[in-house]
Amino acid sequence: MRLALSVYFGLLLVLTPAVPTIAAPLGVRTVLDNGAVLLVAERPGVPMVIMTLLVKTGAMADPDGRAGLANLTAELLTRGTKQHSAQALAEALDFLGASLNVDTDYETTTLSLTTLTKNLDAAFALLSDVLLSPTFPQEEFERKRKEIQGDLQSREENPGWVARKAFLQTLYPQHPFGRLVEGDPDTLAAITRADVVQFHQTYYRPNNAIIAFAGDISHAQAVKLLHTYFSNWHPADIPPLVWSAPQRHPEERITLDKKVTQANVLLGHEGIARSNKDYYAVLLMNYILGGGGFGSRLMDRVREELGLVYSINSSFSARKHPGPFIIGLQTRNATATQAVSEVLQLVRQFVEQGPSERELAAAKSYYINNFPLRLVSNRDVAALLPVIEFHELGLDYPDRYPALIAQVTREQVHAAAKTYLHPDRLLQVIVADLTQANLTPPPHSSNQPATTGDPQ
Amino acid sequence: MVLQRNPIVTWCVVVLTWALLLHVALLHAEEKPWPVTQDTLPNGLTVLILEDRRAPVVTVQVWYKVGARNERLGSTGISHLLEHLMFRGTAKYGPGEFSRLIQEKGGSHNAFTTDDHTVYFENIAAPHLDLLLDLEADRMANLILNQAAFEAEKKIVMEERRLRTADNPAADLWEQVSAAAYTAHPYGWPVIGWMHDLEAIELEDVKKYRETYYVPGNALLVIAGDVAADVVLAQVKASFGHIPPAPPVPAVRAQEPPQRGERRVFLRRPASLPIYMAAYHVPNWQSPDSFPLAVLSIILGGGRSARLQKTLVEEKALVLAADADYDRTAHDPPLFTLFLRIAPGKTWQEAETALFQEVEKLQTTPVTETELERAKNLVEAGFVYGQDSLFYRAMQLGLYAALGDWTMIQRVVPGIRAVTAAEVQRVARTYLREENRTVGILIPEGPPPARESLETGISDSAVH
Repeated sequence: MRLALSVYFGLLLVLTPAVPTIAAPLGVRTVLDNGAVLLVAERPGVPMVIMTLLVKTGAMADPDGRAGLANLTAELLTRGTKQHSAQALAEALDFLGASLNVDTDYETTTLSLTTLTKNLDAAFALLSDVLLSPTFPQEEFERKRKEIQGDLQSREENPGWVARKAFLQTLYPQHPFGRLVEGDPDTLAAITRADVVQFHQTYYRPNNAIIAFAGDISHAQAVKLLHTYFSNWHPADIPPLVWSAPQRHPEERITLDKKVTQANVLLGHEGIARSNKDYYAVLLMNYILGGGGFGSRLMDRVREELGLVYSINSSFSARKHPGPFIIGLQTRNATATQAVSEVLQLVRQFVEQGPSERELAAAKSYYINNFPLRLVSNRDVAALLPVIEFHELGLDYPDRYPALIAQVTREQVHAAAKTYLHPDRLLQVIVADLTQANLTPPPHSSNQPATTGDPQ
Repeated sequence: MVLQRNPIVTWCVVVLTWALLLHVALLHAEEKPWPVTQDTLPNGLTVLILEDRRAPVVTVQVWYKVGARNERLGSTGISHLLEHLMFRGTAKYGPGEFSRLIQEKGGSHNAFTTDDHTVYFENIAAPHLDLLLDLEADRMANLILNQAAFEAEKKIVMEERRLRTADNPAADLWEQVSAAAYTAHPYGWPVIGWMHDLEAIELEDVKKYRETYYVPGNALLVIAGDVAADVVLAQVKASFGHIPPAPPVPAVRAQEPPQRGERRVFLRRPASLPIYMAAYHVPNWQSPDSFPLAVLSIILGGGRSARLQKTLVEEKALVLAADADYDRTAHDPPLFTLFLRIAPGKTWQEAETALFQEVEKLQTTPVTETELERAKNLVEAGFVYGQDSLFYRAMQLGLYAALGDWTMIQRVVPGIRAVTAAEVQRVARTYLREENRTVGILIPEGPPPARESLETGISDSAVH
């Protein structure tokens, strides 16, 4: 890669000891000449290193009709390179005791490498091979596609999965958040090997990447690794994503009949983006409602008092683009409608009254005191570093965090509940034995609900 | 939360940690002996303290040496039900206080039950250790069990059973396989209990159960993190020292007789695809064969290059997933399990034939030195990675201490390192025999999946 090492090293060696702002507590950040952002957290102690390489593109970049392309591309990285067959790669990684995992999400693709320090060089060589020189053999392409199609079929037996799929499809009819990251059997069938090659060429670029190291490694070592193995990785223009904002969805209930003992219920609507100015108020609001486990309003009432569920929770998926707000629960078929009514009542009441001072104090106290506990292991740090960079929070985020939480007022949380919770227009998805649940599906009707309200 | 020895159970982080612990099962302390302080209080409580100063946090775990193996038919699931009830409060800390106090200090907590143990754990900033000790000591001695909480908790556990087993085909099959494999030993029934037993258990049963097993002499307290052992020990004595000693818990006398012929279980139920399991009776850590068996499980199902992955998933494309599972740290002799999720368009018979060919290869031809080394490297690296997590280290301590001696941790990696190709071949011949095998086959049946019968209703009035 074009690291421009002379300037770069000079800067680092001169400035690092003298300017503590570069060496924020969490790690050191460097923008490389090819556009990649490097983050290093030097944490000696255990002779291991975890590297997380985040590509700032995920399933949102799947072209219409080819959902699953980003995921298929990522899954195929380890299935053959210029230097190694898939089997040779697998054996080499195992011999080193290294693990290399790939994870595709809507907005990002993450490669994580875990290795012993003594094998760092060899393991990183394999990673660079996988990242820069995959060959996407036709045979492996066919086999992996079939395997993902089979996995998708297999998951249909999981009622929670069925509910989630229907929920997202309905909430985001014209938006990639309504599709599965894995795609579906038909869109997978439409993908060609050429699409995969093109996707890799387009998006796996240093100027679209964040590289984080945590563990028994120095900043200089990390730089040397990148210089040695990524020197042929060149930047290129990344095409912007063009998606119109999803439309608000009107109130609707979808019921799906399945021979299950337990109804799987999802309730929700559109949520917020991570950059939303009210993010911290929403975070606290959701903790009190149903994100805070035991002690949250949903858990206290629906589980502890009524014994209707084993688990119930609420969440906002605050991505760069607004992800969904979802309340999820499972209860036996016969109590499905009772559980839904209870939840609706709790949400309405919460919107009307807002949180108590005591609830807010407990939520704030949890987040402020919990943050250091999220940064204990190398794995914790290697996971958090690229996320902080992706959302442009800054490496001083851990220092700023307590104040961000502490300054939120009860009025702000109440306002957040009123603004971002909409009990009057919840999308409900219930997967259940409808007869037992006393939910007779209405005669088949149009699946094209008229949308109301303004686009976000 | 229930943990079962099941290769396909992957619900949450804790389960994954546990699976790693059991599957890879390893550890040594050549470079850095574990700075562990062990003591036993006069009332019988065993205390283990691990000083690990890398982060200003502490993990507390209370291990009660009671689980499904201590239960009786008619009240299966009582260990796990009691685990739930332990969160229902005391006179000092009323309902909900336990969670509230820990969470407002940023801490997390949970509990799980296995065949052998019931474990409660908390993670928190080190200065709050006192609070955790007080909470755990208080509920060990002073738990209040009332009828209303009991009834509510029973319903919650039944929901947990529906969630984990009834609507989960793989877990459902595993329950059937265990029940067939064990005819005389409690490992044959599910940790979460049979549904009719959950319905039948009474509050008095749970009270008696608790009085018998939740006593200091049957518990281990593990504390790991940014602490000084002598200070902590004094704190522990102040919190737990006053709890009175109790008689030793009843021994589990059940033993599984040798199996003398293959058993086959068919489960017909709604599911997407067939699932196949083969389970063999094998010894646990008490046998020197446990190390070669652990290596054998890695060669078959561990890492990316494992034989079942290579042959059944990739070359023959007969299955979507394949795994091998063996837990040498089981209290009593466990099962060595092979698991296959059959690919669309393929049959379980084809997959079974290919599976047994792989087993036979291991019985007739020694593994190569490279393959053996690869498996050992995976185990050893897994041990090092485990050191990254304070919680995981504490789990290892508790697990081996519950077996009788935490220092066994230090003999695991050397034990794995010493395994030879001939030993792997020998244990494959000795244990992976037809007459020692219980096979489970899930055959999908019933209505088609929901997506094919999707009915969408739009209604403004039906919502409420």
